[in-house]
Amino acid sequence: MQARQFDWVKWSIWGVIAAGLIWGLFFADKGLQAIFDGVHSGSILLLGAVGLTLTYKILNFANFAHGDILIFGAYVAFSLDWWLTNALPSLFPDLGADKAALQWVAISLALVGGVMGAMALAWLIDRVLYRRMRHSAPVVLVIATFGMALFVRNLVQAMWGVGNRRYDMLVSTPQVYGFGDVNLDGAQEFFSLATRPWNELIRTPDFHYSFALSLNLMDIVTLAVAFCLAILLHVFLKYGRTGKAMRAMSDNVDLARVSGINTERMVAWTWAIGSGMAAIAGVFMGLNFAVIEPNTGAKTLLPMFAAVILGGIGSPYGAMLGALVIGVAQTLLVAPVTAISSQYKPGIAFVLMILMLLVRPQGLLGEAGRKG
Amino acid sequence: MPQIIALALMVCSLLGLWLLLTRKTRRSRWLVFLGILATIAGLLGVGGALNVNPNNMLSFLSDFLIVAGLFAVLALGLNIQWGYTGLFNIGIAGFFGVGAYVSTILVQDPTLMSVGTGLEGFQGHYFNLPFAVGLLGAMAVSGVLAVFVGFATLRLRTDYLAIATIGISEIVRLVVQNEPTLTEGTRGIPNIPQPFYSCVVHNVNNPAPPCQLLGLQLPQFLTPAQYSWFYLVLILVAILLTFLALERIARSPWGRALRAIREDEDAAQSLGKNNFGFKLQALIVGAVIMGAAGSFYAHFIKFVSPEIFDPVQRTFLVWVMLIVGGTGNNRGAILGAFIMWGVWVSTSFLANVLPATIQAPFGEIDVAAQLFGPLRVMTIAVILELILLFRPRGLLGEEKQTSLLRQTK
Repeated sequence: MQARQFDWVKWSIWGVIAAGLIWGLFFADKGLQAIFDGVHSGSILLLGAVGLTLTYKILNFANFAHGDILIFGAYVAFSLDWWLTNALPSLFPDLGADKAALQWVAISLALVGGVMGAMALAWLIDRVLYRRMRHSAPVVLVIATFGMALFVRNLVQAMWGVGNRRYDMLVSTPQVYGFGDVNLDGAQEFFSLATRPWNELIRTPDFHYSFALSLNLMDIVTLAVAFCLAILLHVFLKYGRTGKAMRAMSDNVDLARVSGINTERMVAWTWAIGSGMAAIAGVFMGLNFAVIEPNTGAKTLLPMFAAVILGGIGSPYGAMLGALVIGVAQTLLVAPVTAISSQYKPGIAFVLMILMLLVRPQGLLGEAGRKG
Repeated sequence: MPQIIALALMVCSLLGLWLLLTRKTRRSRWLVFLGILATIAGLLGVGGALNVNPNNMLSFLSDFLIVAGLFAVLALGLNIQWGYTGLFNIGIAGFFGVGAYVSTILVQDPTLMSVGTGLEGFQGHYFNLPFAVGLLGAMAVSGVLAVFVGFATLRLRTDYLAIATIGISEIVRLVVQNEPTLTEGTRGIPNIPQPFYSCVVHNVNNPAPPCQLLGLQLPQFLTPAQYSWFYLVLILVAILLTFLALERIARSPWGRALRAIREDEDAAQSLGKNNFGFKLQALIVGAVIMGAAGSFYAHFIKFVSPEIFDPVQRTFLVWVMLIVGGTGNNRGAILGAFIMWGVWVSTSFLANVLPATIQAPFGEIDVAAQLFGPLRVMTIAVILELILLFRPRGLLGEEKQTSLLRQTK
């Protein structure tokens, strides 16, 4: 057996990522903010990408309907959210008095409903369609998912219309958290955790904000939920009985079946996890970027695939890493480098994906020598 | 009364499709197939009578045939990629749109840019070259795009190509939308000149000097309204040339190598075939054909805008056409294009039959604005899934191809 060689390509990619972060932090204008925004949008992308990579790993096909299942879940949550904000005050008068609490309760319940809706839809499509094709060539399944993508997208359009929709939850005013070399109130302090309304602060003439962060409650909630779910998924796959069975199935379906694993149930689990997390991603897209529309899911599909390929197809941790890299690269290249219009964000994801396919097709965390 | 007939015919055609998908015997297949063609013709007739001014019936028919023919060219281009080689291209809209834009920019006459359009000024640069140059340019740029996509992905699994093609069509759309100095952005390019227009059309109100073609002076024998018949002839020639070329390819050693790669990559490689090279060539040939279709489309519609990248019509419908007609069969690709474009156009007449609004428990639904378009796409999607489930070979299925050497003996 050949001695393990130093993987130059892999480590140079890591080097490029590190160099980008250092450039963003110390040399780019508002770099810290850009990196934070990137991690923020990347963590939403992460929730979508994980489901995509799981279906790829366990069911062995690329699911082009993933973005549309994501948006279906988001729309179910949208309907539930508005219904709940109207219905809850009559049931619980105390809640009606506190508008903010009502909104948070409503959106949390709606989120659960959206997850259930997306899971039900994915499971139904699998029962009716994909299950009958499980023994045909994987490419036939990919065509089927492509058809289902358009079916679901148009179902959403037919049910909710083509216009923009938003949840009953306004984005609150961001607060500024400055640390490092920040000039707040004219005094230079290190780690001065001053909280001020953002729009008030940027009017202060001597304020320079290279190391200040403006964020609001929703950003923090989003990050917390995304990372909690990532850790939960890790624990589930690594230690859970079902997770272990799923991994076994992805390695070899026949061996898994021989050793008594109910593969159909594992397929159902895969759909449940993938579409559930996608629905959460969809809801957070609506909450963080203000609106959803029926095409939002389809537009997210390309960055999600880029994240999956960047990390290595089939690797959940790779998809998480890839999503964060894509998110940071998108904001870091768009905000400080003014030459690139923010419209080109999907283009950045695409170029990164193509570069990765050229230099290291198995992705950052994928194993060398494994084809596809 | 005509509405009821149209609805009945629609139901018949759907029933016919169902029969077609489930019955396996050869005779019933042809019967049902004829039935479907008849229903589509009937639907078009009834729908046309309902919607189109009887005087324009002929031009409606020629427009239908031209667009269906362009879809046939697209389906032929997809057939060499997917049918012969097994390359999963779901970015057809990208190659098609690039062809349309490149040809438009090369051929457009700058003086025509703001004639009667109400648009003040334009930002792009236009070259005013002959149509043939535009067509060749469209084919070339589309091919270059295919090289770019193929080089990165064709050594890998088929799915990577799918992701990359859907990506490239999205990126091209973004560039077209955001670079007005190149493409006028979202407002599009109007008044695109049509090939040989002044050679064959005599416009009484605005007479143009007759043009010379290869030293021959053509008589201006058509009225402006009849020009689309001339264009139809161009399209039919394009279909015929593409078809003959692809049939020739299918029977050549090159075509056999492509099919060998589709069936078993490892086996083809073990016989010394350069899989990557063959796949790249097939992708380029298909993309070139798609680019040409885009060029023809732009010069027919006389207007391009980013709407041309619509994935439903330009990608999804072409896939359904090829799969309905028969993957790997060039006749099937053409047949599928005409059938599915017939279904697509005839379903648009259903808008007359359906009520304008529906009372739902949560409010009034505007059928035309909200429900009709999505339901139409959903119907096509269901047709695709049914064919994949029950009749993956499509209407005609793949023909047995014998090599040219065999035939001559």
